[in-house]
Parts: sequence; structure tokens; C-alpha cells
Amino acid sequence: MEIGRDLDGGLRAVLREYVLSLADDELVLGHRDSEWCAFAPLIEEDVAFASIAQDEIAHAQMMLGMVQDLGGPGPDALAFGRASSAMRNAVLLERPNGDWAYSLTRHLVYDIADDLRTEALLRSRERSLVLVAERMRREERYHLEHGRTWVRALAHGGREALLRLQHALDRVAADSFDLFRPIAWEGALVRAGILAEEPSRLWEPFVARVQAEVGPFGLTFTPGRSGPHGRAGEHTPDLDGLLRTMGEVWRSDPHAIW
Amino acid sequence: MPSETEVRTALQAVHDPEIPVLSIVDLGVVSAIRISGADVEVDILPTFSGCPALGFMTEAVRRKVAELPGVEAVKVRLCLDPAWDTSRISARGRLALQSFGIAPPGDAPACPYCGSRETRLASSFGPTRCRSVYYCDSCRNPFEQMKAL
Repeated sequence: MEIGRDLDGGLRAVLREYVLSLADDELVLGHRDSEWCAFAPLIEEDVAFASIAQDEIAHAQMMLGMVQDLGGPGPDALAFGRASSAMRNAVLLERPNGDWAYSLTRHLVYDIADDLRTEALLRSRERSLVLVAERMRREERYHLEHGRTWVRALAHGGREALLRLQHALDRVAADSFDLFRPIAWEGALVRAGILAEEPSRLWEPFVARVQAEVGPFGLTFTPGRSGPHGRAGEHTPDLDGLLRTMGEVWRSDPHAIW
Repeated sequence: MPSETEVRTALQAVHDPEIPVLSIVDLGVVSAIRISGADVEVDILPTFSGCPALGFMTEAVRRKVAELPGVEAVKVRLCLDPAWDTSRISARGRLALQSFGIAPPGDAPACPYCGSRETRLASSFGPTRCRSVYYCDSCRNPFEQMKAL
């Protein structure tokens, strides 16, 4: 079913922007995940991160297809052909992988945000959004479990591991508001019944859920309502580097199939 | 003009490229088949969204149906509705998985080699998108299970 067929032009543009932000989050984190392949501390984790990367990039591909249906260019041009100022991902997801603690913590925090977000999408009036959310949720639960298992294991790994986790959580917290920052157009999507509620309303449940997840280990998640604004296209030079690498093959031959 | 049964029977011969004993019909990915004169349209439900075998399966379906007498045009559509899940795998499909050394999806899988239930999850992420890695404490072999979705 094609998305937004009966929406007017203004709403289609707003919905396109929203779906693009979801797609870009998955695309950029998926690329970062792929960078662990052959570098993770265990071979099982090379495989795990490569698999998770495949999922995230496939989710991005599905949603970029929806952006195309809403009047955008095709998924490859969107993924590989945009400047960083046209990217709508949260800055949290473009940060370099850092250490193992940071990568896992960021993933867990993002997976919790994504869980809340896709759960809300199940209540959308747009059937195609519901279907994509259902599909993603079936796969994402494995990601959530992966992050949880590792953070639990690391938290029982002694003082240095705990310090690194807390340090990672603090860095993630500083970038987190970007995930749910109120955006001017979100009200229009709610009024049209496309979203059941404004995405920014998920902020408090999100903070509470992350804290509930890490609290039992003596860790704290204390994000403020500030930080970068990736949804508005304000990104760091790290994203330029990522885009350069990710788009290298496509730029050399835009019609290549691989 | 071919019948729907003829198309479905022909598709029994198309196999998952990564699990060559498993027909895509038994995998449950063939959804609606529409026939109008010499035109056939087949709806395919994608399994795991990052599955690289999907393009291969789509093309194999197109070629197989085009071979049927009386067929002129074949269209294969990828469709998310209904969502594919592992409950769509037929009883025959589950047996095929097991014979290939992959435990079918479900809780606490039995070892496909020795049948023991003394198995434990080694990693949720296996050699392909759809498989986890288990270890059998009885015959001491690692084995794979198709993940429940």
C-alpha cells in the first residue's frame, strides 16, 4: 500500500520529513555498526554487529522507499547522495564508535528510544507505517536483548567497566534530547491522525525507561533538554567522514548493483 | 491460462538459496497469486528485512512462472501485508530445516543432530540474518536455529 496517497501536499511534505528522520537514524547507526566488523572484542560480536547493521540498513531502505513514495528521490540517491546538512539523523548516531562500552550503551539507549517510537507508530492511521513498524519491531527485539545482555555483563565486570559505562552513559545523555526534541510540524501529523501523539511526548517515558534499565547496576542516566540539533541538519564533521565512506562506491558508479 | 495450483506447484521447485532443501512455498513467502489471461502476478512476503537472498528469490520466482505454458507476463510484487513470520513455515518446511541441520524456530530447540533438549543459546546472531547459534550439551556440537520472528 502506497503511503500518504490521500494526503494533501503540505502533509505529505511533513510526513516525508518525519519518515526521513527515522530512516536516517537507522542508516547512520547501521553504518557505524558495520564498522565493528572484524574489530569487535569477540568473533561472535563481529557477527552480531554485522547482523544488526544489516537490519538497520534494511529498515532505512524500507523507509527511504516510503520517502520516495511521498515525492522524494530514490533510496540510493537519498542514502548516498546527500550532504550532511540534508541529513535528519540525531547527532548521537553519527558519533564515532569510541570504545566498546560507548557503542553498546549508545545502542541500548537508541534501541529503547526506537522501541517507544515504533510502538507509537502501531497506532498510526497510515497502514503502511503500521506495517513497517511491525516488521521492524520483530527484528529490533533481538537488538534490545543484545544490548541489555552486554550492559548487564559489563556492569558486573568490576570497577573499570562500571566507570566506562557511566562515562559512556554521560556522553550518550548529552546527545539524547535530539531524539525527541519537539519539532514545529509534529502537531500537524497528530491532528491528521498519522501519529497517535507528538514524538516529543515520548521524551519522559524514554528517560524513565533508560534509567530503569541501568539503575539496578548503580548507573545513572541524566540527560538535559539541550544538546545538538541533528533533525535540523546541524551535524558534526564526523558525519561528513561517514557519508564520504558510505557513498564512495555509489559516487564512482551510481548504477552499480551490489 | 495456468491455474493457481499449477503456479503454486511450479514454485515448490524454487528454493531458498541459503537453505537449498527448503522450498519458498514451504517457507511461507508466496502469498497471493493473481491470474488474468496470460498475465500472472505473484505476491512475495519478505522474510527478514535485511535478507540478501530476497532479490534472488524474486528473480527465481519470475523465471519459474514464465516457464509455464500459456504464461506471457510475470510480475512479482514484494508485499508487507500480511507480515511474514516464522509461523508461516509449513510442517514440511520445518522438517526440511531440521534435515539440513537447522533447528526450526521455537523455544528451547532440540539438537538437530542428536535430538537432545539439553541445548543453550550461544549467540542470537548467526551466519545469516535468520539464524542463531546454539550449543548442544549432549552431543557437544554447535548448531543453528532459525530465529522466531
